[in-house]
Amino acid sequence: MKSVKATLSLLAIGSTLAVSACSSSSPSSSPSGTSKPDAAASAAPAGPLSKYPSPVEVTTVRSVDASIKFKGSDTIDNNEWTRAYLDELGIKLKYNWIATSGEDATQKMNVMIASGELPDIIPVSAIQLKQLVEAGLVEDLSDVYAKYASPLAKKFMEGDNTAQLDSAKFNGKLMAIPNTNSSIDGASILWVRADWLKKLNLPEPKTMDDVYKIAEAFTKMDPDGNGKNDTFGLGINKGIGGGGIMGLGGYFNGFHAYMGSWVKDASGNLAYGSILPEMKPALLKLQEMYKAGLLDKEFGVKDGNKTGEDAVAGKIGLYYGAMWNPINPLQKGKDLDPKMEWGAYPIVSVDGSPAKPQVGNPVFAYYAVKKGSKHPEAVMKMVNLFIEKGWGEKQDFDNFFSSKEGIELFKHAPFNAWSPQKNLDVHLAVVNSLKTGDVSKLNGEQKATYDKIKQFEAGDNKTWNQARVFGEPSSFTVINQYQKNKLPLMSEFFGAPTKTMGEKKATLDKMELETFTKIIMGEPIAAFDKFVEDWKKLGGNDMTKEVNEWAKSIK
Amino acid sequence: MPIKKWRHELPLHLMLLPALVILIVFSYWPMIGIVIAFQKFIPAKGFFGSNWVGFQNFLYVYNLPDTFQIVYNTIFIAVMKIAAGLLVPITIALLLNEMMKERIKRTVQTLIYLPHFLSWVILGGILIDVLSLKGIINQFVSLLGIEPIYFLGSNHWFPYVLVATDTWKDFGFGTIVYLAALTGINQSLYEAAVIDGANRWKQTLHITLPGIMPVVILMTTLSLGNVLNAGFDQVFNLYSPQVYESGDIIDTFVYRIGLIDAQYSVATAVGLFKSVVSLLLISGSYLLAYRFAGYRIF
Repeated sequence: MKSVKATLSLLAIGSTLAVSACSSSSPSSSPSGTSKPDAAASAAPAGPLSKYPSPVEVTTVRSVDASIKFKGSDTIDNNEWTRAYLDELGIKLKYNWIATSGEDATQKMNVMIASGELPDIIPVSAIQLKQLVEAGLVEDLSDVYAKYASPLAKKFMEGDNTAQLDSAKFNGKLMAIPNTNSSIDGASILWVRADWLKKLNLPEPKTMDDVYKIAEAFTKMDPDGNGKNDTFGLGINKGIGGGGIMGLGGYFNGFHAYMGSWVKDASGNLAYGSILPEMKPALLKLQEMYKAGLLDKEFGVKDGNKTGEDAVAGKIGLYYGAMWNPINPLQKGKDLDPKMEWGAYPIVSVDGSPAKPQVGNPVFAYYAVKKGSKHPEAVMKMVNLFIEKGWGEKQDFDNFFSSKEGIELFKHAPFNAWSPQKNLDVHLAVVNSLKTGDVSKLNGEQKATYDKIKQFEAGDNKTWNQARVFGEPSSFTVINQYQKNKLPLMSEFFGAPTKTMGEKKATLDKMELETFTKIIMGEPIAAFDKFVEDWKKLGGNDMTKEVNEWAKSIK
Repeated sequence: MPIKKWRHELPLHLMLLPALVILIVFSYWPMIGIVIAFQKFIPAKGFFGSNWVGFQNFLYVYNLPDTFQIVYNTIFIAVMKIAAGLLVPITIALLLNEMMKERIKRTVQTLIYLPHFLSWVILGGILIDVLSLKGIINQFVSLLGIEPIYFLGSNHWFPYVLVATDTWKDFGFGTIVYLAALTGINQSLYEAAVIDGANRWKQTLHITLPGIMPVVILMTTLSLGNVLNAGFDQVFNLYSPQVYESGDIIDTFVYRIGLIDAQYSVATAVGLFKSVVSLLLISGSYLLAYRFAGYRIF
C-alpha cells in the first residue's frame, strides 16, 4: 500500500495547490499586473548603487538552513545586510515568510506560485523560473539590467562567458537575475596516489597512455605492498560520466567526448555529446581495461560515496574527480593512513590537442521580479551591493561575508552573486601570501584558509585537505592552469529543460547509462550505434531541434 | 434493522466518526488531485488553468519502449515476494511452535524480527558488500567450488536477490502474527487428536494449519493489494544500470519521471493506473476469500 499512499500524498499536495488557486484572484485577470514600470523606474535614482530618496519597501521570501548564526542580537530581519540595504540603498526588505528546511521551502514556493500571491522578488530554481515565465507572472528585467547593473556585476554575469546570464533569458528577454557562481570549480581533475607513483617508479600522467600505464601498474604491481592482488587501476562509479567522485567526465574529455553535455558540432549547431562518434573509442578503451581487470568488476553497483570508500581504504590510486575531493572523501583516508598522498593533475588527452574539461551551468538560484512590482530595479541594486562588498570598491569581507569569529555573514544576504573566480582567487591570494609571508591583503576567508594550510605545514594532518584544495600544489593549481589556457568547456545548453526533455529525458538517460555500462562490461560496440539511432528516434531529434531553437532565441 | 438496536449501537458508530473524518480529509479529499492525470499540469496555473488532454498521458506511458518490461518486472517480483512472504513465516512459526524451550523461542523470535527495523538505505549499503564478488556469500559459495556469482549485477539473479532479501527483512514480523494465531487454537483439540493416535505431522496437518487458516487468508488478501508494489525503497537502493532490465519497477519509473523530470501529470497517470489495478486485485481476492473460505473482514 505504501506507494498508493505516496500517490495520495502527491495528490494531496496537488489539491492544496488547487484550493489556494481558487481562493485567490487569478493572476492573469488582474489588470494591475501590467502597471507602468516606466513611471516607477523614473522615480528611482539612476546609479547602480544610488539611494532611494525615501525608503521603499520590497518584499521577498527565503529559506535559511539551520547552520545560520548571527552576531550579537542580530536577527534574520535585522542584520548587517538589511541595515546596509536601508542605509546605503534606501531599501527596506521585508520577508513574507522564511522556511527553515529545503523541503518546506519548495512546498511553500509551489503553493505561492500556484496561488499567484507573489512577493516583489521571487528566488526560484531554473524549473520554477520557467513555470513563472510560462504563466506570465514575472517582469522582463532586460532594461533594469542594462540600466542598473554595476560594471562589476556585468563582469560577473557576462565576463568571459555569457552563459550564466543567458540561462535566465527567455526569447531574448532577461526574466531574472542569476546568482552567478564559479563554473570552473566543476572542472574535472585527475587524482593520483603520489606515494604509489614514487614507489613503483612511474612518471606523472601527461598523456592518456600514461594513464593506462599507471592504471595497469596500480592493478598488477601491488602498489600497497600487502602481497595481495586487491587494488584497481582506474576508479569508476555507476553513473559513469559527470564529475564528483570517480565520474569519468574528465576521461571522456580526454577523447574530446562530452557525455551528457551539449557541444557545437562542425557546422556550428548544437549536438548532444553522448551520441557523437568521439564516445566510441573512449568506450572501447574502457571495455579493454575492464577485460584486463583494471576496473572494478562491480563498478555498476557502486555510487560515488561507495567508490570513495575504496579510495579511503587504499584500493584505488587513480581516478577522475572534483576539486573538493580532498575534503571528501580523501581526508578520511589521510586520517587512517598518514602516508597516503594524493596529487592533483590536469586531465590528459589522447592526442596532441589539449583536453577540455566540461563544465555545467553553475547557477542554482534566480531572482525574478513579480509583474507590476513598483521597484523592479531594487533586486539589481541589492545584488550590486553584495558584489561591491565582496569584490568591489566597498570591499568589506570581514563585516559582510565571514566574520573573524567565523560567522558566515554572507548567509544573511538573500540575494547573492559570486565571482566566477572566487575559489581560484582564494588560492592565488593564499599561495602568494605563503610565498611572501605577507598576510595583510587577505580577507577573512582567505586568512582562515591560510592559517589552516600553515597548520598543516606545521604537521597537523587534520588540515591536509585545505592544503590540497587551496595550497600548492592543489586542485586549484590545476584549475588555474585550465583557466589560464582557457580550456574549460561550458555546456552550450543551459536553459530550463525543454518540452521534449521534460517528457523523454528520463527514458533516454536510462537507455544511455544502460548501453554504456553494458559496452564497458563487454557488449559489442555495435550497441553504441543502435543506441544513437534509438536516441534520435525516441525524442533525441526533437530535443536537438529545441535546443538549437533555444540557442537562437537567446541571441 | 429495528430502531432499538440501532439506538443501542449509536455510541459505537459515533466512535467511528473521527476515523471517518480523517479518512475523508486525508484520503478522499486529496483524490481530487487525480485530475492532473488528465491534464497537461503546470503548477503555476493550477488545476483550473492547466489544459485538458484526456488520456494522452496514459497513451504516452503506453507507448514508452520500456513499459511492458517494467510492468512485467513489477508483477514478477511482487508475486514471488508474496509467495515467499507467506511460506517462510508460516514454516518458521510452525517450527518455533514445536520448540519446547520457551527462552530459545523468544530469543529466535526477537532476533529474526530485528532486520524489520533497519531502513533499506542502510541495508542497501550492507548488502552491496555482503553480496559482492568478494563478499561473505560468495566466499562461502566458492568453498563449494562454484564460481562467484555477481548477485547485484546479473539480470538473472537480481529479482531473486530482491525476493530473498525482502523476505529475510520481514519474515520475523509475519512469524509473530502466525505465532499469535497459533496460541488461539484450542488445546483440547490436540489432546483429542493424541488420544485418537495422531502423530505430530498429522496434528499439524489437521489441527494447526486449519486453525491458522483465517489469518493466512487475511494476510494473503492484504498482500494481494501489493501486487503492483514491488518495493520502491529496496529496489531503488540496490539496482543499477546493469540490472534495469530485470529490476526496474513501476515505482522507480514513476520516481524518475515525476520527481527527476517534474512530469507530474504522467507520474500521476501511472500512479492512478496502479491504484486501479490494485483495487481490482484486492476486491477480487476478497471475493475469493469469502467464496472459498467464508472469510469476511466486516
